[in-house]
Formats: sequence, structure tokens, C-alpha cells
Amino acid sequence: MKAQTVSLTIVAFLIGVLAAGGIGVRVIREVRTDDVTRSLPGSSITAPTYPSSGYFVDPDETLIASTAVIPLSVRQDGSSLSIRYDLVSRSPIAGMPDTGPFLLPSKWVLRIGSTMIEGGPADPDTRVALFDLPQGARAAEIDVVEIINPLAAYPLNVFFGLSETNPRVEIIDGVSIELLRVSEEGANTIVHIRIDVGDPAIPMIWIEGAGPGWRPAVREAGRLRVDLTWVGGDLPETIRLRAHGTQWIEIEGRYRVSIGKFG
Amino acid sequence: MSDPSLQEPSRSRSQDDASDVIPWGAPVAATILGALLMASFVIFSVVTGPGEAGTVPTALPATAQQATGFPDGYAAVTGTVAFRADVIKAGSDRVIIFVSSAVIGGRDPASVTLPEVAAWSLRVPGDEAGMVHQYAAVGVPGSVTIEFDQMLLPDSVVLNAILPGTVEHVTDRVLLPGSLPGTLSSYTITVGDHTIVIDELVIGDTWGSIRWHLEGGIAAKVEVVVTLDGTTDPTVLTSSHAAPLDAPIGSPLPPLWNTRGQALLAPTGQALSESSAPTGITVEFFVSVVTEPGVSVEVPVVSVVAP
Repeated sequence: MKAQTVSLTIVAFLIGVLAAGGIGVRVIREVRTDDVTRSLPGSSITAPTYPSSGYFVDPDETLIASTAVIPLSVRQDGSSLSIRYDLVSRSPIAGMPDTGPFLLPSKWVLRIGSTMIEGGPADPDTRVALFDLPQGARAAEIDVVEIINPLAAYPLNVFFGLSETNPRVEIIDGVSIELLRVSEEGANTIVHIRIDVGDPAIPMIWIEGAGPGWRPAVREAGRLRVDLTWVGGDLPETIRLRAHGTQWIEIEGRYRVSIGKFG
Repeated sequence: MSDPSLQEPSRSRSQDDASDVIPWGAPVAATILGALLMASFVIFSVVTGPGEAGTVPTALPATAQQATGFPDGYAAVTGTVAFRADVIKAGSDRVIIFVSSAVIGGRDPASVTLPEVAAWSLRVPGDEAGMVHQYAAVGVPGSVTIEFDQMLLPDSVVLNAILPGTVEHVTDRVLLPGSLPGTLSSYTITVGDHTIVIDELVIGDTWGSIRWHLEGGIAAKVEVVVTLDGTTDPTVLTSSHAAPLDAPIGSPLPPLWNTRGQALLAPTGQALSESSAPTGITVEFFVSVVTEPGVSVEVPVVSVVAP
């Protein structure tokens, strides 16, 4: 076989491989797209993996549910150490208002040698974890930083009743609704309600009447108080209400936070 | 007699042509062989699935490779969104499940819509329950809370998200007398073989409430618009999203699928005529019903919290 024929044979072989390969890649993509979007029997679902980059938002992220905790800085001032962080949600939000906070890493622990130091943010809007270090300890000596049992926000919807004999009801852990008083304004009856929440996690909660006879509620600006207007005649002995908004739920687990780059 | 001087060159050209003829048999065979080898590789890749050495991910561009993952423990319900049940709480009278969602790596969450779930089912050994209802909230886009009637929860529970399959839509209109409060009870709206029952609709001058449930079918959405007729600026009351049992009036939240709903009505727009007596009341119902279920996806459960 001449050299020219050999060359042609090699080129032809490669053309065959490439042509079939091009078609094959499309076939595989189609098949695997079908696998993901239309054929999802539960038993076939496997534990997902990180992107090939190894992270979703930031190389130093700690993923809690679908929210990334990203350390931004570590600062020591005497024995006071602060870790400033950001929260970035990976939940789909197209067409919806992007609100927050949706994650509250309320309890942090760092370890220096055998010493454990607890810390945490003061409230959901403060994205700074504060620690009081032992005398002489330095940030560079920190071995481990962890978030313990963080709180995540989920929708709330609870129906409940209040009355003069039962004026206070705990609707969820740490959140109680209290009947303050009932007043008359013309033909209407005003029911004054107070939302009593635990510290520091203050969820977003609205109260409204349940069933006919109620006008939309008015929440007093800046206060956890709500005035409800009843126009349904005599006020029932048990006032049926509905609480909705968000609530904090604890997600059990220890989540290690990487602050190595600030060392 | 031929001229040798002419024949020679002619013969010479003929011999050269013969020596230039390419033996196409070998290249054609090589092409077929190459194609067959690659075809075999493709078939092997499809059969063995992703993750095998030398399969498609190595052939895809880098940007595609980056968009292959969800956070740990999430199960894909579409090509771009996955769900996970973070916590199940078993209370004294109900089971509440808190579900979060995540967008696939490489996609901007602001460009991805939360998939609709028509219904959820909870299966334990020897028992299975359908949801009582599901609801969302403005402050936590992408999260859903689901309620089930009380049932025993062993360690082994299976949560399934059933996506909408076939959806039918119906608009229904009712005219009521102008006296307030107007009422409508046990009013039925037929959607195919299924029935929406308006258990109670009560209409005041600038307020109202609705309660409904679905008989048959998978889930429904019911929205209502009430117009107090006969006034210069008619009052229009709407539940906005009566179906989900969750959204505050005027909320930008989309309604969720449910089997029953309850909501207050409130005025919309600027024109209110609180002091004017209407000559009639027009009630319009906008009803959607999932008549056939779609794909059912098992959603992983992270933890079950006993009461």
C-alpha cells in the first residue's frame, strides 16, 4: 500500500469516528435529558453531586440546605473575634420577590486546641458571628469553626382560637398570640392582638380573621400588634384567627466553615 | 500506420493514469470501521449511564460540565430544580413537612421558576396519605410547607411530589341580588368529571370570604372576583390567591394546587363605594383542576422529628 493510500485510510478512519461521535454525543444528551426531566421514578434518584468546580457560589462556601454561607472576613480586636459572612440562596426565585433572611446560623462554635468557644449572631439581620476568645488566643490558632443546628425559614399557616377565658395561645414553638382587648368603633368591633415572639429569631407573621365577618387586618407599624375589624354582628365567644408568614425550623447538624484564607 | 511518436506519449499517459488510481476500498472500509467503533462506544455510554469512564461529560464543553450538580441530598424534579424535605415534624394532630428547593449548579436562581407540585403523598409501611394542603410564603421563595393528617411516622417514610399532568380550566359566573351581605353556599362548578364545591361565599361592602373544596381530581386552584354592580365606581373584591390558603391578600405569590381552600376577600384598585348600595353582585370564579397526575418524584427526607 502506498503512502498516499495509507494517509487516506487514516483520514477516512478519523472521519468515520468523528461523524459517528458527533451524532453519538447528541444521542447521549437527548437520552440523559429525558432521564432528568421526564423519567424520574423515585428509586432511581441518586444523591446529587457538586458541580465540577466543587462549589455553587464560592470556593469557601458552606452549604446548609440550599443556602450558601460565605465567610467574608475574620477580625480580631483584643479578645473579641468576629466572622462576617454572607448568605446566598440557591432556591429558584424567578417571578418572586427576593427576600430574606432565610437562614439563621444562630449558634457557632470554634475550637482552639481543646478549648471550645461558642458564639453567634445577635439576630437574623446581623451576619456577623461574635466570639470571646480566651486571654492571649489568636485567630490564627483556630482549628475548627462550625455552625450548629442552624435555623431555616419555611412558610407558616396556622388556624387558632382566642377568647376571654383563653386569651393566649402558643401557635408554634416560641411564638404566642395574645388577645389584648376588644373595643367598639361605631358598628364595628376592633380586636387588638399582640404577637409575642422569642429572641432573637423574629419571624415574619401576619394575623387575620378566619371566615366571614372580618375586614383585612391592619398591623401597627413597627410593633408586633395587629388590629382586626369584625363586622359580622356579635363577636363570637371564641375568635377564630389565622397566622401566616414564616417560621424558623431547626436543621440538625454540624456544618464546618472554612476561614483558612483569612489566616 | 500509427505514429510511434504519438503512441508513446499516449501510452505513457495511460500508464500514469493507471498508477494514479486510488484504491478506495481501504479508506471506505476505514471510514465504516471508525464509525462502527464510535457507534459501539456511544451505545456503551448510553447503556451504562453517566459516571462511567470516558462517557459524555468528558466530551461536553466546560460550561456544561459545571451545570451538573445539585446540593447534597436534593432530588431533581425538573432538569433545573431539585427538592429536599429538610424536616418532618409529627405533631399531635398532624404531620408537617418543610421542603426546600435548589437550582442546578451554573444557573442563576433568579432565572429559574419553582416547579408546581399538584399534590404530595407520604408513604409509610402499611399506610399512605395524601396532603391536606400545601402553602408558601412571601419571605421564603422556593420553600413549601405541606400538611398531612396525623399518622404514625416510623423511621422509614417516603415523600412523593406529584407534578401536574392534565389541567382543565373553567370560568363560571353567578349573579346575586344586591342586598348585603350576599351569600352563596354549596354551589358546584363542574370541570370535566370533577366538581368544585363552593362551600360558602359571603360578600360584604368591602370585605368577603370564600371556602371551597374539590371532589375528585388531583388538585385545584380557585380564584374569585366579586363586583358590586350599579354604582359609579363598582367595588371589586378578590381573594387574589384563594387557593393556597397561605398568601396575604395582594401578595405576589402564585397560587399553589390544593384540594380545598379558604381566604378572605379584599377590595382591589382605587375605586371603592363603601356607602353605595349595589343593584346586584356579579361573582366570577376562575377554576383550574389537575385531572390527571404527571410525573411522581421521590423527594429525599433529611430528618424526622417526633413530637
